[in-house]
Amino acid sequence: MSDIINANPTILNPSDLPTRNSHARKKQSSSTYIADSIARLPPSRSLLYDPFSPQPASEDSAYASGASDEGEDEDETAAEDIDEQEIYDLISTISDPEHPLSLGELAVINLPHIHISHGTPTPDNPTPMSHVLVEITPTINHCSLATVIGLGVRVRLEQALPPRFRIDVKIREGTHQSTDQVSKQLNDKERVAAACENETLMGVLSNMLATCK
Amino acid sequence: MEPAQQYLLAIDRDPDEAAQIAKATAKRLENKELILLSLTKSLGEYLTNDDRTIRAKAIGFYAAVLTALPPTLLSPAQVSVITQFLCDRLEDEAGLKEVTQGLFAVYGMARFQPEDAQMIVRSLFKSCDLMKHPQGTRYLVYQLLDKLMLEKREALKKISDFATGFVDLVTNEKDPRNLMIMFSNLKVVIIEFDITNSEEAAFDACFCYFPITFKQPPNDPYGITAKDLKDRLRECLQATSKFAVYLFPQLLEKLDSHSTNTKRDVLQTITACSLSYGKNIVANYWSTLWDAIKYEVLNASDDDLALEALEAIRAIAQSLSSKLGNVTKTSSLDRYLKTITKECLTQLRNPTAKQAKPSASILSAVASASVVSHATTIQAVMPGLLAIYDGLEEIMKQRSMLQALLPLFDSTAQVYGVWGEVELPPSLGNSLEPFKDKLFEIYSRALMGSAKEEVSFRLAGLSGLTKMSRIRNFLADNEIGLIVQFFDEIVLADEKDEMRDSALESLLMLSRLKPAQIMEVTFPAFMAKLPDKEESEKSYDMTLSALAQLSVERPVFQVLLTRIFNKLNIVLNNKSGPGYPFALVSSILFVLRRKNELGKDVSTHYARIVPELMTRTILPLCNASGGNALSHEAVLEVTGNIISLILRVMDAERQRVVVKELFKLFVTREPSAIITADKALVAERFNPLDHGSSPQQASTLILFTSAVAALRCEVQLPPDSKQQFIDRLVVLAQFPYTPGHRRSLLRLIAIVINKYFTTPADHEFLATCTEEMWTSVKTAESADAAFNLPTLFWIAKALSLRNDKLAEPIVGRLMELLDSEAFGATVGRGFEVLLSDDSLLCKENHAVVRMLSKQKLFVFCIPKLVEGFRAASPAVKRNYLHALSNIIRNVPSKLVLAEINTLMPLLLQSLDLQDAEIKVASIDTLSVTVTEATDLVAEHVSSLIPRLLAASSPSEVNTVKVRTAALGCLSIFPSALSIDVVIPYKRQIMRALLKPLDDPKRSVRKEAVDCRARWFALGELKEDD
Repeated sequence: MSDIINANPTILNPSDLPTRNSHARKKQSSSTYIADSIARLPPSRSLLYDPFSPQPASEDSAYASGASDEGEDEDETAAEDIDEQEIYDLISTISDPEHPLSLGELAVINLPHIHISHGTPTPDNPTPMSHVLVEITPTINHCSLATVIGLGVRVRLEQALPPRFRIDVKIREGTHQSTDQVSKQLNDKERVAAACENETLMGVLSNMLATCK
Repeated sequence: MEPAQQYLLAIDRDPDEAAQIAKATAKRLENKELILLSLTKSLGEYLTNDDRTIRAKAIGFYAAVLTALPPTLLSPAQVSVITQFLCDRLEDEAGLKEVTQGLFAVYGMARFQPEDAQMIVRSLFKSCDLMKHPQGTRYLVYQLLDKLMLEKREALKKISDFATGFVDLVTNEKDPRNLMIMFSNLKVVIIEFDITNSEEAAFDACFCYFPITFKQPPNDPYGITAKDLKDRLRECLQATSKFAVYLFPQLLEKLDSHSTNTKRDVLQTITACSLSYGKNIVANYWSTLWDAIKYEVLNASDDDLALEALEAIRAIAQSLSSKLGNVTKTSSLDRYLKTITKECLTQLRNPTAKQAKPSASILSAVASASVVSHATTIQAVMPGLLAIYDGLEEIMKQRSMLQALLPLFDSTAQVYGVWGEVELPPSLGNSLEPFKDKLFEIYSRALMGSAKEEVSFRLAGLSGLTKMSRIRNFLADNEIGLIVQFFDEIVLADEKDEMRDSALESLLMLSRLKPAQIMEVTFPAFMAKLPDKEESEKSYDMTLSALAQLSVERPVFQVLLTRIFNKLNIVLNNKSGPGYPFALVSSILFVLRRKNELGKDVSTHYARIVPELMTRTILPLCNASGGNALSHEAVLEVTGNIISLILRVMDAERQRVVVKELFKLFVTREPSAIITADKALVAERFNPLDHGSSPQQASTLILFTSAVAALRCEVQLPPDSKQQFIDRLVVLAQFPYTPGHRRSLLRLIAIVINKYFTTPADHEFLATCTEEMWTSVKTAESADAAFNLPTLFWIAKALSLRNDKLAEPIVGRLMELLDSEAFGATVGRGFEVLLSDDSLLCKENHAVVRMLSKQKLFVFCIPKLVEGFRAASPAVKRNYLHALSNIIRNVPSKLVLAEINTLMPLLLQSLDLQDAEIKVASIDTLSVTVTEATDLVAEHVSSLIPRLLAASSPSEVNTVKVRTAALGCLSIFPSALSIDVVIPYKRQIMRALLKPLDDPKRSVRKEAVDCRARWFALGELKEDD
């Protein structure tokens, strides 16, 4: 690679990055997990489970006491909207083209700088347009790779979001010497399409996106 | 005919015969029937022959004769003459291999003289152009040289300019097997021989191989790895410090390489040579080395390389430290460290910058190199670092600085040891000592004095305190006590998982280094936190979890048991629900399991735990109190697990004693030693195996079953007739109180049959008994009325586990029932019982489980299932699919794969069923199939893809699990199948996956995004290759 533009950027600690509080990702060695295995009564349906009885066992009141079914299964019906954290999770793991670090760790992508607005569904239009705006913060204000990073974010979101989303990627005001110019490039459909025809550029992008988890 | 002629005629036709001729000739020499001179003369005409193969064979004959001679036969003069003769032959390129064999033979003679060795080596150097010969021949020559080097080394040292000769001989060697010998000889030459005039030549002879890029070929018969070669080469390079002048500049040049392999090799070589060349040499090079190596740490793109570079930096410090007892201002070590500390300190002025952390690692590396190096480094950087810290205002920077100091504590622990170590501490005082109070204060403040959300800042504080408390003779006991209190507080109060887990881990570490602190401070604090009755908010679970994790050591566990039993009394008296008692008993189980995993004998806890828990459970069911939460089924399961775990590790003798008392209690209703109070009352009122027993008493069979399950096969059951016992259980199982009650009865039946019904009479009994059950099932009108059906499944399971021939007929009959509209569904579900792994009826509990029993059952079932499915009417087809899904969920996927050809149509059809569980099982199986049976999947890809896509959209039957599984399966296709097969579907799939991208569930969306990314990448250009 040619000269590194910012050889010594500031980096964030992974444990300080915003995450969704999820019960699913508990390590087996964690105290919470052990506490759970010690103190959680098995759900009454597992006690009453009987492969030989044809109808599912009903919730017997004798067992319901204390045995709350805060289920292992998620609630099937409750919908979870796409929110800022979900967008953050999609794009913060993209690698920086210069450093073996993620955009989240370099604070290029920040949770407060992601904005989503959902349209209100109406009977005629049950899936109205939604809008997502991502503002990226280059590590230094003359970073010539800002466009590439922005393009990476854009390509990732286009692949990962349903078509009802309108995507805007901008450089955050005051963080780059040519904010408007770069933002314009990033939201010009034809220029983005042209960029996606460029093999070298797509090669760089696919390496950046390879770390998305 | 001359023997030489005979040999030449025979050698190509029959090597054995040729060998015989040589041996016979040797015998004649030995018996003085032939003299050496005439043998040598007889070769004359062949040795001048124009045909090179004839010349070689003639020497071959000579060598074979010499090899067959007894080693003591020849006189010193004769040995010399022969050696001379063979050495002369070296000028003839034709017979090098044979000559070498001959030389091996003379070398083996008793009267082989040092002069002869010199002669051989001189001739080799003079006449032999080694690289013209095949590697096998060269190998022989190397072996000969190796032997001579080993046993005649002193003689060889007298040869003038041996080193040059040797280097010339071996130049351009490329074969790894030869290089292995060559390197080890070269090392001896470099160390022991005079190389004054050939230093550079010797160096070049080694360094031309650097870096080794050899890759071990597959099926390599010699088993030489790149590492072997690297190690040998490195030994040569580090053999003399005279190489330094050539080596270091060239190494640093190679450090600019792009290959990580080369870089790693360079760094490892620098480390090795810095340590072996000694202080005076390294003193000349540290400056250039440091300038080059630091780059590899500060701008590392590869963590492993950075570690190697740190190791090299450390090695230089270690080398420069030698013979230094004190910090000495003018030493080269001091100059080296001054340069390093100055640069690192500058970097650490902004502790959040990318190069700050590597700088801290460098400081830690040099601080761990030696006592003096530690002292110099700490004295040079500590005041500066603390001053920087005081000037920092942003919490993020403070956190980074605290983290930067952590590796220095590790280095200190490395140099000064941790508590409890026996070696003497270094004589030089710990330089970190003067900074102790300040460090203790800032880390304590970070942990306890900052806002709860500042997780990483507080974690840095926590790790600092942990690391400091490890260092031997550093913190005072009261300071460590304070730290333990901090950690206790965090475990009990803190809500963040990460904090709590780290604090608990630190407490565990301290419980080994400073056990008294934990017993005296932590334990009482935690115990006091346990409430006396069930509370709406579970305040006890974390405390119990922490206590259980800290209680693996025996004395602590004893205290824990006492406290938990006391607590249990109080809680039960307060009429608790089952939740809290469940947690208390579970924590005992947790510790026992952990102990068992660590290989400790848990059976020693029998007396303390088993009668105690049994009595507390059973006695209240017999007196006026009417039972308590311990007889809740969930608690009974846990107690049962504890009993099983303790009994299974007992020897047969002790088990016999226990089983007698168990049967008194549960079966024959006599006063039993297991009950610790009111034995007579219990004997009178406790009748869990009678028809009239109360449901609560009946449910305690869970305990009985768990205990019997743990018995060894050689421990017989006490009742007079085990057959009557089974009959009794079978009748009870027909009308159970609860599913749990039935499960424990059926398990008990299966356990007893599996372990104890082995004689022909037993077989006859089982045959009759299952026949009767079968009749009653067949005549039943509904699944509910077929009350013996479950029993048949469990008996079949018990028998099939030990590969009993009775199993298959029972299973075969059960499979016929799949066709019945009345029972089919129940039977389909029964296969889960048949094939799933049971937690009580298992090998660990001494059940008879034969190898391949599952496989045997599988092989028996599948053809019947497939055939039955084909013939079945549409109404009952789903019963077969249900049975199939229960089977594939419970056998290893490799079994399913073996039959996948026949199963594929069924799996595809099961995707159309309206049953979520079956769908998940089928999709999971397909996911394995995609990677393991690519051809088959490729064949069906056109019917699979639409079905999987359909399963990925939400509906009543397509639950989250189904959708996730379907998307997961689809995402394997692009990488597993050949591109020609999948690429036609790319557009269709990219379009169809837009829908799951908008799935109402986040987890499904995540899966869809990953799946789509994989399909998107399919067929796109890759940048690198």
